[in-house]
Amino acid sequence: MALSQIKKIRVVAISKHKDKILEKIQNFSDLEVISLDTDINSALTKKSKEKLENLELLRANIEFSIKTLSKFEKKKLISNPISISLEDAKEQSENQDFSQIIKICQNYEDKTQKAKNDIENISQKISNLAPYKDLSIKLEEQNGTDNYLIKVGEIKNIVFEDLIKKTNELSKIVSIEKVSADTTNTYFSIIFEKNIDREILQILTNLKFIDASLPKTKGSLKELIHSLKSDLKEAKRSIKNLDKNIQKEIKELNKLKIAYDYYSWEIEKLSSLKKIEKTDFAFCITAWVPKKSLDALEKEINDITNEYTMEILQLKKDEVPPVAIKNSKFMEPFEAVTKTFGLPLHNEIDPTPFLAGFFIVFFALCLTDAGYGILMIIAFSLALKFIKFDKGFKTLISVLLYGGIVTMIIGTLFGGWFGLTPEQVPSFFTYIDASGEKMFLLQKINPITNPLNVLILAFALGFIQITLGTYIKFFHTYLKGYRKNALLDTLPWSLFLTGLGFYILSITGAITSSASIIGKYWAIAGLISLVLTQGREKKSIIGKLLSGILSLYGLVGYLSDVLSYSRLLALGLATAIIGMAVNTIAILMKDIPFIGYLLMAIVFIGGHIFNLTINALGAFIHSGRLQFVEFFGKFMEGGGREFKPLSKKTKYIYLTK
Amino acid sequence: MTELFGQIDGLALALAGAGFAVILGGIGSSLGVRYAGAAGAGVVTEQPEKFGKVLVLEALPGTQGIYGFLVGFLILLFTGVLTGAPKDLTLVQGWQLFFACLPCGLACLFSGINQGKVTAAGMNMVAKDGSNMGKAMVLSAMVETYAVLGFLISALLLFFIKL
Repeated sequence: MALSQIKKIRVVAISKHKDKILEKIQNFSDLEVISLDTDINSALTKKSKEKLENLELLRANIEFSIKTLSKFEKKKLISNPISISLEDAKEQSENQDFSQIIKICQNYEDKTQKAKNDIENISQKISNLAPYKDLSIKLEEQNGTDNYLIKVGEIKNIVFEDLIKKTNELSKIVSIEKVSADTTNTYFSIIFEKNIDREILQILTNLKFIDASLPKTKGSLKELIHSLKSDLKEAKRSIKNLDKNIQKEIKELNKLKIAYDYYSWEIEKLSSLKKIEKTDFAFCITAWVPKKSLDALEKEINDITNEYTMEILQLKKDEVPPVAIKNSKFMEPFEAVTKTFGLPLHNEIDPTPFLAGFFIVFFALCLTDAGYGILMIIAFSLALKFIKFDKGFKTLISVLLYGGIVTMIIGTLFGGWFGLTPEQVPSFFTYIDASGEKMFLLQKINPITNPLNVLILAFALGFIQITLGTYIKFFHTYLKGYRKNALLDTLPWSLFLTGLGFYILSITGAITSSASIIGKYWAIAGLISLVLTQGREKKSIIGKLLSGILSLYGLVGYLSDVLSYSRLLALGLATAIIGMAVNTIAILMKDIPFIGYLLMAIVFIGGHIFNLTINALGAFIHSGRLQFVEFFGKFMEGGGREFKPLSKKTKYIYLTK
Repeated sequence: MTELFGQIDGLALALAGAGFAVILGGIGSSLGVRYAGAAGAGVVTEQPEKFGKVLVLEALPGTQGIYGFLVGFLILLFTGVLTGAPKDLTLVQGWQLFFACLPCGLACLFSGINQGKVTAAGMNMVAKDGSNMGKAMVLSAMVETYAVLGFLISALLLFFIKL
């Protein structure tokens, strides 16, 4: 239920057992190898380095092939990872030669890329030539004869008339043939005598003539375009054929995926050699290991050999161990929330058990709809049952499942049922409460007509969480041995806030008046102790008093933190009102003839799914933010380095035992 | 001027308020989502497998538009426009409803735009390392706080203005 205690150890053993011991450690998954200061004596010899490089190349090729083949994989709504045991994965991957399939995939990618380039080039050519397709001049004639020259190209529509006029002024023996025109340009050919070529060219340049640069081949343009089109078809067909051929190889995909994971493990194992020191006959691993795993680790290594030593090392000054948090099975999913913020420092406390209750209640308050709660319970318990998630995702789904359960409970108390009002449901779901208001069964409070009560509830929860935060800080610093700091810095705030809480409760009449006097004096006592203690660092007595009084300004910080919890009401209202809006629009649909009821159902279902998705996302983020900013800030700093043991991580496969 | 305002009754003012809330929130969100989406498109080009994460992040600055819409919806609901029997509102009530819409509208306008910018920066975090997703979301949600507060005040005002 807290941070795992992590020890620094050193294992020294005979070299010949190195590979076996490393394999054991990797399977053990609870040991992080510490890097060496220098890698002069590192166990990563030239030979193993070569092996590592080869493996990395192989893995990159496998990844490339997976990427190629995945394009043709049938997409499924739910795709489960491949279940396989460790031994099978090893055997399959080592006994198979992947060079064949890698070659096929590379070949495929090369050829399709080439075909795609061809298609692009040809299409470009066709679109350039298209305006001239009715050109009567044959391509071999485009250079003209001894006496006449020919130009083919385009100018802007607005200057085409100009061109005709100017050339006619120049000579009568100029023939301009308009081939086609679009909204901006006119495409034409011009034939003229060689002796006036300078003048004609001058006119053309002035009018911003662009030469068509027709290909220098034979035949008419029409024929050329036709043959280009058939080339295009050919290129497209070749891509289709390539696709068809590669699809035959799709059966290799699973093997490739298994091999990818297997070689990733091997690479990680080999890379860790870099951090291991070796001598002629022995090797030495320095590592972080959780204290409780030490015995198990010793037993694992003992299975291989007894020619080893294992000792626990003292930490050097300034050496900071990595951080791992360990919680009961019930609390474990909430580690996902903590890890979103980042881990606490190694000498701080694990906030997971403290935030769990608050997080889930806040999440539910942001939704407050029992119907949505039930939907979430159904969806996420089915997902957990039928889909094999990796660990990180599984914890997230579990948190959401808890969220669904609490949302159902709170939603029932608040009377949220898909944004419906009590008038819209059959009467056996409702009752009339003492004040004559129609309520859902089991509903205790109506957040739409009584939002203030919910706001007060939100503030109260925030106040409790923040006060709890100061107590956590107090106990933690006290138990760590900084008793003076704990007693003088933190405790006065805790006591003051507690007293204030009781005092506010008694003012509102929630508790008896005799308690109110206690609360009042308690709060005042807390206030005085704050003034007396918070300035103790200052030298002069006036300085002490002044900073003592100034420290009361900290109350503003606590106040603004509490006010921040008002978002719980806002988000809860948002869910309720969107739900209401969906229902209103759905009912409007009913009056459309013939398909009215169908449309109503579509709007109702689609609208509520949208509302649930967007608000569950908002609920998760905002509930998390309240933990990270308002709660964590009271007792922890965060920023611990995560404990990353040498292990077998999987991307595609699910290891069965 | 007097002629123009003489034509305006309480209901028209209330509906103008509803319009402002929806329009301002919508502008804020659409700009915000644009910033986030443009940055996200870049991430997806390089790493298509992150589409899911990018989509979730892109949705974050979209809430302001929803808050604006909700305030507009509440006005329609409370003034009876939705039920087809609009209430007769005095000019004072009309102004009250109009001003009640502004906290949400204005807060959502600026919060949406700025949340979009923070989210776009968050896209870069996700591009670098997918596990930064949670942190990027929290950073983005910090900006949303003020839209939430604006919405809260607008909603409370609408609940408590006597019609």
